[in-house]
Amino acid sequence: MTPIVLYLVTIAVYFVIYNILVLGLNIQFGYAGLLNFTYITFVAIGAYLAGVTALGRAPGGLTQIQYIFGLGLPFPADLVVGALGAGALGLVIGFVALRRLRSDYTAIVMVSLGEIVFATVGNQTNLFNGQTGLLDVPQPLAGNLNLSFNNYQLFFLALSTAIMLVLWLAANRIYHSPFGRTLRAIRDDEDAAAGFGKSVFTYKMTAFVVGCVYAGIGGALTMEYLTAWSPGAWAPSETFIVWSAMLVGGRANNWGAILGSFLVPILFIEATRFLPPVSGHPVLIDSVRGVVIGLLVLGTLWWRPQGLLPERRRFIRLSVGHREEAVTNV
Amino acid sequence: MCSALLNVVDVSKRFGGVRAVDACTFDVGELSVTGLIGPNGAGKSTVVDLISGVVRADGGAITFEGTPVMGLPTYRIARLGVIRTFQIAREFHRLTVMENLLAVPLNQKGETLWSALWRGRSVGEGERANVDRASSLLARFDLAELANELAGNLSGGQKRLLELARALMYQPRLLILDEPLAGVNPSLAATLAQHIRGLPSDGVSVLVIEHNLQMVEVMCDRIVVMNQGSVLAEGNMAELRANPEVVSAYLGVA
Repeated sequence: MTPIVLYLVTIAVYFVIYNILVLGLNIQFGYAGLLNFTYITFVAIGAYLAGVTALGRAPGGLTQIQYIFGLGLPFPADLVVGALGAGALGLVIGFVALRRLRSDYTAIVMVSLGEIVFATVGNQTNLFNGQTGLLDVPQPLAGNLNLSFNNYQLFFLALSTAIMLVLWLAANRIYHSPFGRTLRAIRDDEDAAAGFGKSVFTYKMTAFVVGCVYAGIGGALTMEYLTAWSPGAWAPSETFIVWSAMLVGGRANNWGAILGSFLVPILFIEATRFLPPVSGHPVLIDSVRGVVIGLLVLGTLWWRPQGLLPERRRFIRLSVGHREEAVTNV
Repeated sequence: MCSALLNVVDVSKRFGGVRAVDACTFDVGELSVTGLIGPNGAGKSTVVDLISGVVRADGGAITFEGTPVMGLPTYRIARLGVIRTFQIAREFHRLTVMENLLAVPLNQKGETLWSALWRGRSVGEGERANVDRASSLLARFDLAELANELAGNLSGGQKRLLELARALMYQPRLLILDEPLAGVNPSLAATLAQHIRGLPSDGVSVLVIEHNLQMVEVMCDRIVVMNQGSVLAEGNMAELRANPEVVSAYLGVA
């Protein structure tokens, strides 16, 4: 495999994982209107929990490496633990943030809770090894397959794509089901939905936890691919990359999630890595990248608030007798 | 005289220094249309908010079919069969007109996460039955042509029709309408009033707030007049016209 092909495979893996992340956020915001400004926290918890499930017991002692669990379980146990752990954290945070608060206050509480988790994980070194984080996490099935490094990259791409497709289909099923319709009704006017007997809190919680499970799976896959995870990987600002991808692609449209995952994290972030460095300003390109993404989101919200691929109208044919009735009424 | 479906007894609500509702007492009869009229600021919409659980009362008692409903959350009251519309139409604006109706029925197949993911045949069957019902309601309210339009794109009057159709989709026991004819053109208003008048024969009792007195007379079996948060008088339109207090507070001299 030439270096360029290897690079493209790596990019493809990121694209697929971002897709999972954007789908999860889309279920929360696009379907249910929930402002989760700490989405990356759930990604991180999924990654950490998958890590400490896959890793063996922490050596501790002089190595000073310490973390909880260290179960040494094979794939897919780590992925499942990561997904369920992120969902469980979603249940706790959702219970605080969604129970009584309106969306703007929900957003503030989310950011605060996310910061608390970030600070705790970074400083409480016996949880996930603090700032150093988890290292040398075994990759899924790597021990069983005995593939070369290059072939393993291809295998991982296939594995994550398969997981993404299953999650994409599930997200689509949810959207087109009566459950998804009720979520969208709550998104549009939660008081009116409650007025029709819908338990708004239960629906919001369900959508929130499902979105968090997607985040956890995305996080677990990222960690498995990198074989490491530390606070440096999930700065709070990472949340906004996922948000930008969803807003630019088109909220409440799962094709938009794919487009957004390609445009923002891949095209804008990866492609700009190839810009020539400016002498004397080593971090200039990084900073410009942030500005460009900010402008892209602003431009989208200004000129095309529904995103490049807007939510699609669902056409439903009237029952036959009533179509005729309607015509005679006109 | 019909037996009472809804009893509002001595209900009060203060907003800061304002007594919006003050020891308000009235009933809504089973299978009847009861009108609720009164000057602006009389507390009519607040009473509706109190009955539907949108706002919590300070004191008094509200019972629906003998069940106390005060303090229950809105969705629990709705599940008893009490459905209300709002003074300003509150459609689900990014859903189509048809979807607005389909979103309403309770406990649909496919309305939980698991049934959405493992959708079986029964989901499709339930959906088809609901589409049938919704189609017939949309035709009845002249909205069939707009079935696949986004509800947010409808005109003000069309949104009122949609609200009414959506409320009926739920098959309520008691339907509370907050100014259903506001912003509706006169000929359509008359048709709507006839619809509302006929609802008790479909098993739906109605409490309606309305300022168009001619239509109130067409629609209502009994009318409750509110003023300054409490009930000033009750009766049919002829009785109210003969009541000098009602004339001075609301009706005015013709």
